[in-house]
Parts: sequence; structure tokens; C-alpha cells
Amino acid sequence: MLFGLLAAFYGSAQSYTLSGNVKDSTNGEDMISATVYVKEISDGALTNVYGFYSLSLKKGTYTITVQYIGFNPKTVQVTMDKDQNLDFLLVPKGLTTKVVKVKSKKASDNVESTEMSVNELSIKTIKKIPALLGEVDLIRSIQLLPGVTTVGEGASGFNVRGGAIDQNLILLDEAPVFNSSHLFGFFSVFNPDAVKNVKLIKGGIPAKYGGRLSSILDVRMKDGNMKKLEGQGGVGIIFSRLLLEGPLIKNKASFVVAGRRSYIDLLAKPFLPEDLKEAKFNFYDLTAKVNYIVDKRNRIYLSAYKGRDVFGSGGDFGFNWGNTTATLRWNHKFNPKIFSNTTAYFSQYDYGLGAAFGESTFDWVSRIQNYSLKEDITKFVNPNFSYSFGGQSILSNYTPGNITVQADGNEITRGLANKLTLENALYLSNKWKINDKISTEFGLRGTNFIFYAKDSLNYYGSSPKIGKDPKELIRKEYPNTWTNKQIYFNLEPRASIKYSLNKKSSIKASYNRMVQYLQLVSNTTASIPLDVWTPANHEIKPIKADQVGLGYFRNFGKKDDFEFSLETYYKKLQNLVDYRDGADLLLNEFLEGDLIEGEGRAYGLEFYLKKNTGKLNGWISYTLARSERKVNGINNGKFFPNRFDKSHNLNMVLMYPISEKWEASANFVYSTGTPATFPTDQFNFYGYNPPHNAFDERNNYRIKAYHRMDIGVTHTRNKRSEWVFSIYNVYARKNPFSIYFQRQENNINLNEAIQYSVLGTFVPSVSYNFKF
Amino acid sequence: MKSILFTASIILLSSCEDRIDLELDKGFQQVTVEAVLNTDTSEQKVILRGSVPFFDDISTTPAIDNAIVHVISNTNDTLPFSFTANGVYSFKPTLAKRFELNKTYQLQIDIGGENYMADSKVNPVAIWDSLTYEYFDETGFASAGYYATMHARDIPGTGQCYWFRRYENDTFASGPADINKAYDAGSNPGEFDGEAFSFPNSVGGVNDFDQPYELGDTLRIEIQGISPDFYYFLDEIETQMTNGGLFASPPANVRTNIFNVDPKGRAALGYFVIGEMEAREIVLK
Repeated sequence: MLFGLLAAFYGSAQSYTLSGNVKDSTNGEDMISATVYVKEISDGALTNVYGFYSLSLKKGTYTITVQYIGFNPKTVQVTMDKDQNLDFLLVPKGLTTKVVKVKSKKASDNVESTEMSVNELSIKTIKKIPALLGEVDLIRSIQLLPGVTTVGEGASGFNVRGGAIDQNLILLDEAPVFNSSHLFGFFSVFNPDAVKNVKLIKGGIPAKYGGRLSSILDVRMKDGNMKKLEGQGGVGIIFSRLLLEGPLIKNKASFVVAGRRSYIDLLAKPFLPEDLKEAKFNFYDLTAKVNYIVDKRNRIYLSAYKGRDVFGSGGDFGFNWGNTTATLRWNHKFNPKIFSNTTAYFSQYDYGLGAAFGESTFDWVSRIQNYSLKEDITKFVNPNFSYSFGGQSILSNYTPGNITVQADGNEITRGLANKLTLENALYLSNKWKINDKISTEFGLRGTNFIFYAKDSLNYYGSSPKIGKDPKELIRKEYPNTWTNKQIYFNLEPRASIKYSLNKKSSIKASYNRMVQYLQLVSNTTASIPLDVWTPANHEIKPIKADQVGLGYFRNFGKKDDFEFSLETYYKKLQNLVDYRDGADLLLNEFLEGDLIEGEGRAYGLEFYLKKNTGKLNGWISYTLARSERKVNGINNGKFFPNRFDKSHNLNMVLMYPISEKWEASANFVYSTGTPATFPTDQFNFYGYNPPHNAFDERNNYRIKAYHRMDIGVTHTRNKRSEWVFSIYNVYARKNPFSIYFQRQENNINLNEAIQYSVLGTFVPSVSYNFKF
Repeated sequence: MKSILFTASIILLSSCEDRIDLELDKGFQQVTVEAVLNTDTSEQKVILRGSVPFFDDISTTPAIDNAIVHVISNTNDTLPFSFTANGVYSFKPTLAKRFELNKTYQLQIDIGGENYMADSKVNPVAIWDSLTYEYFDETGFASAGYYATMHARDIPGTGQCYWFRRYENDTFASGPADINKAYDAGSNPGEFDGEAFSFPNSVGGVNDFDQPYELGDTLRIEIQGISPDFYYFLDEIETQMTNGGLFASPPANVRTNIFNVDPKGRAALGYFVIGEMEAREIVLK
């Protein structure tokens, strides 16, 4: 009713709606988060993820300016005496201007919008950051932002504000991606040529998102050039890429297809030892999209992605894994004020392992499939008020593991029980600019989760020795048909408030509760591709997190040359799952018996300073944080730091155009070492001498700090090609990934400590990028 | 598998491993009990030693010579273990007086007033069929040579566990990565129950793929029945001693079934387990 009253008040003087899309004039690509500013009301709107804006204005004449970084602003006069549809085509700034702006929004948005804890990175920026082996990488780039860390090279996934890697919802055109890495984390699964926009939300998460505790990484693909056929690609040391895009029907339908394939195994062959000559380790990904503008009110998009990693010794042993997604979306404008998007998607993550010796073979396959339908509707009541509502249903089919063994002429198949889950959500939220100083965004998301079992179900009691022994199996059930065995309901309130101190600075506060109904079960240092996604069920509760944040945002300089923010957050997590010592997580029919519940907390301070104008651009981010957990039976029941806890995290990125054809960039990162568990003593048993910690502690030590500098230089030959040179880990620091212990090789009576570094030297590379 | 992943990362990106000097916290000494016993009439030993700091030489673990060791059955038979030398307490069974399948036993140790105890039933052994060998040419991950296969099967019924010990030319293969064990006929409760042991146990665990057998070698495989808890104990030893690299598991103390009668007293380490044992031996010729 409140909404209605406000709408009525604002609508009392006759007002009309100006709406439309903002596009890139060279290829027709919709521009996300472009600003449409109305001088007369000192206010405006941002285009949504489909490039759409809607402004409700009273009768009169207005000066509208549309802006997007890297493009010439466009100003028009509009007379509002009826509802109007107006599209804006922006022209990119000429090549003569080598100033590269580092953000994609109007400079003061960081101060004015209620959004906090959000970082949007433009693809242009991502491509400038010096990359490992010359391969531009999305995930590696977001690790340079405050609050985002990783346990090191070779660790797939990333940690946001002290959250585990499974707590990030990674969306590719709205479909979730379960493993964002190729090759154990060295490269991400996203082909940067096909990506249009990347947004990372770390806190104050709006009600339309849900399902993971710590962050949303929203990746949007390009739609495809509406005007002419063109392509681009690159040849590098590790892989090559090619992208083709163009109109199917000029200005009405377009497509984009992009692929990448690695060939490092072919190149490395001559250097491999004899027994690995047939080894293969390669990966590829294919991204495709088609879109069709049906009419002024309707547009359809179909996107698909397939990626795969193949790893094997060539004949005797191998494993492979990959994501597959397909999304169908329909944008519908009911009227100039109401924008709707309907999405249907399919997402699958599967992995398999196989081994053979002589006549015997062993094959293992595991898979998670999501089928989902989602609806989002936004009504732009007026420039100060809009509201959104919608819902989503996800049906998930888990095949936790099926093995087939062939030995002595027999074939034995065995599988863990399949699981089916249904996750439903409904949300309602609004954005309300109360006055010149205060803006708010409130929302409520209600979620419901149903777990179905069919083949078999285990019920457990307690463990005789919590932390060491599995829980006792009390009974088994065999439902035989899909039966609902557990239901959960949760309410997730979301709120953000912004208070402007003056035109240049503001204070923002936010609160969100997030609930996550599935987890990645892993007890290794770095997540391996065979880690299992496990849903909540009759034994495992959904995990919940409450996060509060407070931040101060300030711009400096006439043209908002510097952007500054200081944010602090506190996150409390419940029902976290940990594993008893020695738990075997692979193909374990009694997995729930090995799990122990715990709680967690994470808190920190994030400092961020960015330079937007002038020749030298870049940013510094520094995070001081703590992420820890408390689990009964581990570390004597006291809080201990998480495996990915890093107290200090400093990132510096600099970009400088040396001349018209040469540009240099550099980055430096420093972070505290990760925690580790070290023994104090050892004992002998039957010829073995296992390590022992007399105090039974977990993560009682910290390994050495991590720091690294990378540099890169880009030489633009002409409009159609460039060479990129880079050196990763310039001063060749052997950053320790972990420390482990083993018997000495020449004296098995003595132990030694070994420091394992993933990268032991500097890694130079050259790549060539072209456009046609 | 882990070694292949390791190798790939080393090849790909010049990762490296360096020996480093590290100072560890000071712990305290604990009694270690090594009591792996069987139902045979051969000499049964309980070995008592003390733990030492992690970087000390493991051969310097102090022997505990002043203990009183008894094993008592649930039918009140006492099997006395007497001190011989160097921490070893020995008992010589006879056909009439030995560990018996249907009884349960309790180990009692008194060291200068500190009392430790542990319980074990007698775990049955798997059913042997035969131990064979065959010549194989070189493959992707195995050198050319003779490879043995252990043909044996699990006793039906969930919860039977076994430890397979390999002796090549009378030397026990004591590498932690070589620990060969089975839970039923797989590696989890109820897995392949009642079936023959598959590749990882029957071939993987009885051969060294880098150094296969040669003609003239003697191979003995001992199968010993163990408890499920001892199965996890072996699993933990293997994990803790071969931990490392990109996919290391978090270090943790291995379990024990020895407890101090005084709950506030210092805990002991090690294990007390009894099982039937049956061995097969072949000479390659």
C-alpha cells in the first residue's frame, strides 16, 4: 500500500515515460549500466543488464545526457508530452585518445547509488592487466579487488570476504557455473573475448539474487554485432582463441560464437619423460549466442556454453570434467514502465575418472544437473522509485558417483543413491530515493527447499568420538519412488541505505541474510575437480550467513579523478559443515556420518583508492580481515582460522600509455601466508612414523607471506592487431603454497619439511591478438 | 593419481619443492603401544616405546622397559607378556593357550602407576584362493617385469576389514604409500561385500610398479583380519605420511584405541588389534 501511495503522489501531476535502450553504435551491443542523466531534475537512471532504461518525467522539456566510459557522451533535448521510446547510440572515443578509463560507470555513481560492496570491471580493463602466460583472465582480475582472495596459483575458485569457494554464485548469462576454472585454477572458464560485463557483489546483495552465501559474480556475454560480420582472436603460448560475430538479420538478429583450445600438451611433448609421452592435458571452451529482436517490446536470447578439461597419462589413466550451460531468455516490455525478463536454463557440471591396467578397468562418473525457470519484473514508477519482484525454481539432479569396475572378466557397477532437489524462491524489493540525501533499497526473499530420495537413505545418531569417529548409522530407508524427505523454509531480508554527506561523499550501510542449499564437500588444501557438490538433506542443514556492512565513499578532484572507499563488514555463518579427521569424501555412501556442524565468522576492513583520469590509471586495494570457524571435536572446540584466511591483502594495479602505440601495465600483490597445521612429535608403529600434534590443534601455524609482481606491455600495431608481452612473477619469488613433511630420501629415520611452490620462477610470454 | 597431477603442474609451470628449516612447537612425550597380534602359535609381541620430537631421529625413541603387560580374555584367561629387551614384551602361545576367534581381549599396561587399556575382538581373515604371477611388458605407468596377483575374497557380511602385508625377499614393504587394506572388498563399509578383492588390493597393493619382481624373488603376502577402526587408523597413517602438494589434506593426529584409565592423565598412542592371519608365499621361477 505504501508503494501505491507513493506512486499516486508522484503521478498526480501528469507524467510520461521515456524509455529505451542504450547501444554501441558500431555493433549494436546493449550497454549495461550506462547513465541516462536528466539535468533538470539532477537525477537519472542506469540501464539494466539488457541495456534498458525507463524514466518517468512530468510534462516539460528536458536535457538528457547519456554516458558510458570510453564513449562520447550524447546530449539531446526531449519534450515530454506523451510516452516515448528513445534509443541512444553511443560512439566510441577515437583511437587518438589513449586515456583508458578504468571504470564503466559515471564517475560519481560510487557515491550516489545505494550499491555498496560492488565492483564492476570492464572488459577493456581486464584486458590491460598483465596476465599469466599472456592469457587474460576474469577470475584473476577480480582477485585484485578488495575483499577477494585465493589460496594461491593452482587453487580453483576464489574467496570473497572470508567465504569458502563454493559460496560464490557464478552466473554466465544467468546460468550457474559450478567450476570456474580450467586446469586446477590456472585459467578461468570464461573466454574474455565473448564477455561484455562482469559484476561482483560482495555485500548488500539484492533480493533478486540468492543461493550462495558470500558473493554474486554476474558475467554477461556479448550479444553479437548487429551491423556487420567481424571476428577477433589471439594466439598464445597455452591456447588460442577465435571469435566470430555478426548479424543474422541486420539490426534485428545477431550471433556470436567463440572458442578456445589449449595445446600445451602438444608443445610439451618433446620435453616429457618417456612414461608420460602419451600424456594429454588439454582444455577447451565454446561459447555461442544468438539473439533476435522480435519487435519493439520483445527480444529473445539463446546462449550456450561448453567447456572441458581433459587430463590423462594417455591410455592408462585419465580424468575429465566440465560445465555445460544453455540459457533461453525473453525480455518483454509490458509498457514503458514495466520490464520483464523470463529465463529458462540448463546447467550441468560433470566429472569422470578412469584407470586401466592390463585387462582391468575402473571408471567413475559424477554429475550435477540444474533445470530452472526464473522470472524478474521491474516497474520503474518514477526516477525516485522502482520496485521488482519475481521468483525462481531450480530442479537439481545429483548423480554423486557411479563406478564401473571390470576385473577378472566380471563387470561390477555400483553407485551412490541419486538425489533430486527442488529449490524455490520468491522475492520482492524496492529502490527508493527518499530525498536528496537518503536512498534505500529493501527487499525480502523467501526460499523453500525440498529434498527427494528414492534409492536409499541413511539416518545417523551421534559420534562416539566427535571429530574422530563417524556418526553411528541408526537406520536405512528404501523409499523406492521419489519421496520428499526434507523441506526447509527460509526468509532472507536484504537492506541497503545510503546517506549523502555532500555531493562528493556518502555513507552506506547494508544487511543481508543469505541461505545456501548445497555445498562443495572438500577437505583438501586446494579444491580438486573431483570434490563433490552435496545438497542439504535430512542430515545436512542449509548453511546461512548474516552480513552487515558499513562504508564511506568519497570522490576527489574536479572530474572525480579519484574514487575512494573504506568498507567494513561482519559475517556470521551457521550450520557450516566440516569433516572429521581422516574422512574419505570420495564415493562415500556414508558421507553424512563424516560431517560435523560448526559455525563461522568473518570480518574485515577494505580500503580502495582508484585513479580514473590522466595518463596513469589504476588502483590500490588493501584488506585487513579474519575468517575463522569453530567445530566441535576439532581444535578442542575453539575457533581456528580457515584454510583460506589471509590477514593482510594488498593489490596495486597501474596502467600507463607510453606512447600512441605502446602501453605498459604492472601489478603487485602482497598477502599474509595461509594457515597450516604442524606436528610437534612423532611415534613409531610397525615401521611407520606418523606425525603427531601433542595439543591436537588445527591451523596453528602460518606459512610465509605471498608477494609477486607482474609487468606487461601491449604494442598496438594497427587497428587490427597487437602484440602483448608479459612477465608473470617478475622477481621469481617462490611463493609457498603449502608446507608438508616427509621422510628424508637418504635417511628414512629423519623427517624434513618441504615447501611446495606452484610457481618457482618468472614466466614470460608473448601473444598476438587480431581483429578482422 | 596425485603424483600425476603433481608431475603435470611441475612440468607446466616449473613448480618446485624446497627443503626448508622450520622450528616446531615443543610437545611432550607419550607412550606408544604397538600391539598387532594374531591367533597363530608364533611369538606374539607388544612393543612399548615413547614418542619423540618430530625432527628427531625416529630410531632414538626410548624403549619402555619397566611396564607390566597383561592381556585378559572375556572368559578370564590371562595371557602374560614378559619383558625381553628393548621395549618388547613377548608371549609364546601354544595350541591350547592362544588368541581365539570368538573371544574378546583387553590389554592392560601398567607403567609406574600410569594404567593404560585397550580392547579388541578377534577379527576373522579373508578367504584365500591363490597367489599367482605373470610377466607383463612395459605400459604407461608400469615397467616390464613380473607382477603378482592376489586371489582372495571378502567374508560375506558388512564390516570385515583386512590388512595385506607384503614381504619381498623377507623384507616388509614399509612405505606408507604401500599400505594395502580393504573394508569388505572395497574401501567403504559394505562395498563389494562378499566379493573377490579388486585391482587396488589384488594387484595394486602387491606390486611395486617401478620395480617389478624378478625371477628368483620370494613373495609372501600376509592377510590379517582387522577391525574397522584399525582400518581407519591405517588410512590415517597413509594420509598423514604421504600428505603434500596441491591437494594435501589438513594434517590431523591419527587415532588410537589405547586409553588412560585416568581421564585426566596423559594419553597414549598406537593400537591394539588382534586378528586371524593367513599367508601365502611363492618363489618366482
